[in-house]
Amino acid sequence: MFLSLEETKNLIKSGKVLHIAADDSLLKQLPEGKWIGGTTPYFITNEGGVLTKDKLFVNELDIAVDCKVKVYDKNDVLNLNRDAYENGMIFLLIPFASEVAIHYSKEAPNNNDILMTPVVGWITGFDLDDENAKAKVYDGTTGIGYEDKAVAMHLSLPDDKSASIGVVNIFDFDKNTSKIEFFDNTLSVQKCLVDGQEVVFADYLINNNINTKLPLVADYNSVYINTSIKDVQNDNKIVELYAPVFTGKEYYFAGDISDYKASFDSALKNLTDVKPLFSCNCILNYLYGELEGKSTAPFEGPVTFGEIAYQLLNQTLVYVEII
Amino acid sequence: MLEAQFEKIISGQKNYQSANLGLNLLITRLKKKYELNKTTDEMKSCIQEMNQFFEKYKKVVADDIEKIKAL
Repeated sequence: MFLSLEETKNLIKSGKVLHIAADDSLLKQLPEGKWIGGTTPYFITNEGGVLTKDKLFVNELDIAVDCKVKVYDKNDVLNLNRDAYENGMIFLLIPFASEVAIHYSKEAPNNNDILMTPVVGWITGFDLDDENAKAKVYDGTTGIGYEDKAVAMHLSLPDDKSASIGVVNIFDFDKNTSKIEFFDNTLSVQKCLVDGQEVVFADYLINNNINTKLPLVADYNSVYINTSIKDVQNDNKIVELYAPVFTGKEYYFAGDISDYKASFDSALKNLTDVKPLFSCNCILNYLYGELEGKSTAPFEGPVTFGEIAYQLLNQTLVYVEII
Repeated sequence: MLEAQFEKIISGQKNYQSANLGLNLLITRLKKKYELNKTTDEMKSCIQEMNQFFEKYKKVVADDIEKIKAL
């Protein structure tokens, strides 16, 4: 729900367990309580996408029978499952471009424990038109905001309930197009294999007029996971990515999307009965899809600089429901 | 009980796609892990991870259990 600062303060004071997304100017005014928060001024509400620094997006986590907030850095973020409740779930917020975000994005998919408790969350961001803005996360129990740490809220769920994470990916790919493979688990690519031939990735993208607004897509046992292109540096031949690519995976560029809104409507038509406890959508979908003013019901929430569904994702809508 | 089926899934002899995101990510990771080290010990380790996941989420994966039995 989309609330004013005063309404949010009152919810905190009433002892509610909350996840809050808002501009930093609002989050830093909140009182201590049972909440975690992340910075973004972009949201998708039931009335559509909006950029605002006047309201907060709040999820009430009433389902929790107990909760605790923990702060993690690069050295211990992969141990967050050790703090998990036996029947629980974890909300994880990480600041964009922080060391802990990079470490989590590269290592979580290979971690033995990360799948043992549902982990959902997002990479926090900022107003792209504000050169001085920083992504932050907040531990509401202390009121402290961090630019260099992750914050997690561990929820204990009733014995007869479980958290189920879903991913809505509007992108698809054609396996008859070029197969791309990478030599390392990395966020910065110089060389790769395209259909088995070693190439300079930046040259490949430029020479073949590849639309870099489209993500690379890999098949994870029928789940399509995107990796988005952040920057193509022609001078030093480096391609920067928003999430890592992994050696041993086959990637293909997504097919073109002519109408984002229609693509979302199509992807969401079988999900109208979902009652999400939380959902978030990627800033690249918001920007490239021109989602301002356009709803993605029943999913509303923060617009993010990366989504977390156990591991870091790009250009997806992520949600969690309690079943 | 499901270990023979788990072995077939991890070794790639059988494909199994779940509606559960966590299980799909686990299968992907274990397939890759075994592909890099095709030994009996590695398979045992992978099956142990599958067992741990199914034990923890036996309620959520009840449907998967029936489908995997039928593989």
